[in-house]
Amino acid sequence: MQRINGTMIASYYACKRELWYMAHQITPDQDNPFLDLGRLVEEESYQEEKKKFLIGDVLIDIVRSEEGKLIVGEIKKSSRSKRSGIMQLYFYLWYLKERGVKARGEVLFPREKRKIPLVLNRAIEEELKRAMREIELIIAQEVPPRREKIPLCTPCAFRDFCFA
Amino acid sequence: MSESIYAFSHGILKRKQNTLFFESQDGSQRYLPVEGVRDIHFFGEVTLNKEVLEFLSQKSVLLHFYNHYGYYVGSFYPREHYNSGCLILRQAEHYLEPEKRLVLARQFVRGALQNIQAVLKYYHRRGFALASAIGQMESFLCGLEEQDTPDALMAVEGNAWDIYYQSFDVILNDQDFQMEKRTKRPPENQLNSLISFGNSLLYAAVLSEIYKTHLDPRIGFLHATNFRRFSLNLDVAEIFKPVIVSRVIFALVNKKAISSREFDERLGGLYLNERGRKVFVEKFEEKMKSTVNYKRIGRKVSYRRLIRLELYKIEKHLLGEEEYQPLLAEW
Repeated sequence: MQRINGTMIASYYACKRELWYMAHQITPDQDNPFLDLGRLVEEESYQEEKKKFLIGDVLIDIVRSEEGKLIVGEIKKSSRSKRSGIMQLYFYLWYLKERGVKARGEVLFPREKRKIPLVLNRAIEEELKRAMREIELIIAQEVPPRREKIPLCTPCAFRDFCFA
Repeated sequence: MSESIYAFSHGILKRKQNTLFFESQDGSQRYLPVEGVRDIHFFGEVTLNKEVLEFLSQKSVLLHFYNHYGYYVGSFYPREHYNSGCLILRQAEHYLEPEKRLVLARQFVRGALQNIQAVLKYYHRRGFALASAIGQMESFLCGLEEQDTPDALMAVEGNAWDIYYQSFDVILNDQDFQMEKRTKRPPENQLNSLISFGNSLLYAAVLSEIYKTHLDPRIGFLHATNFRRFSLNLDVAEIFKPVIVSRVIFALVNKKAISSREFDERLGGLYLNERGRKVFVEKFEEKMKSTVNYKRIGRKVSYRRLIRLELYKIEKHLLGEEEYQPLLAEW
């Protein structure tokens, strides 16, 4: 059984089919320009800060401290996938909490000059646990979940794969 | 957008700073911005060192080599960066289980035959006498279900190609470009030479697309795997030969873009010379870049992309998601 990571949480909230593919190492088309754009946004923003922290099994984009409090950040290209970005970061907060680290979170949309502050609470933790149980069920399925046309398909690098 | 580069002159390929540099024997020098290169096809002699191979591997650029006669020799296929254990196992499973292998092998032949028929029908509508060839394709197609080994399917396909290539004489009706019969190694006339060269280019182009997927090019289904050379690209190319190679040839011959001056006689065969290859490659690339409407995706896609989409369909078949149906080029 593979460990659940942040990308899998994000995929779960964006598209369950993407989740199945990612979990089976079937990565999307790297020629897709939106992927390059995403990487560029991640690289070019917050250049003065250190980025990419591998903490245990999770890779966190930005970590900083403010008045002695730890803040972890997840950089997103656009708020189109806001919910999945939020849940991904909540997952990191939960992961840290499980290991005795208290932190707050910020989902960052540098292109939109926006950020969403997050604080973990009991209800969210329950939701995450439920999601993790379902993720395990989904990736254990023999075949990927059925294709659905959703707004997130437009910039998705799996789009041609799904609709070919 | 990345490009395919075709190098005809002899020379040295080097890594220079952070990009590629080709210095040809006649002294001309050219930078090839590495981020924009999909693959490089070498028709002339080339000298390479390990440094450049490491660089190409890191940048995921393929090299394809052709011999003196324009035949495909082999490729530099960088260590894969798309890798999925799950998919490799499924691909092997579909090879090892005879029933599963047969399903795919049959679809590749079906795809080839349907597209051959589509080309024949296109010319039939324009008044060429091809009714009998079309009828024969129909009966081959009807008989495909009965063929229960890849060899039997290959045999049917061989017969279909014979009939198809013979109908080139009706379609082209050009004294200089007569088919009569298909000959390879060596191609005995100009038309045969064009077909061989075009197929070589297509095999390499399909291989370059396979590289961008999770499929293993060594495991083919119609063409038997021997794990030493690529065979999946040969399978998939069958579907695209009538769609791409034939149409490039018809365009070149009908527009008189190519003539007997572009061929040289060597070792009892007729081969395209450098000028001829350049003309062919140019038309081939033009075709690969041209676009057609793809309904399910809802936008126009290039012929090169059509090859990739075909590979995606095969991946989905292997994953048990959606049964593979080969592309039918009805346009």
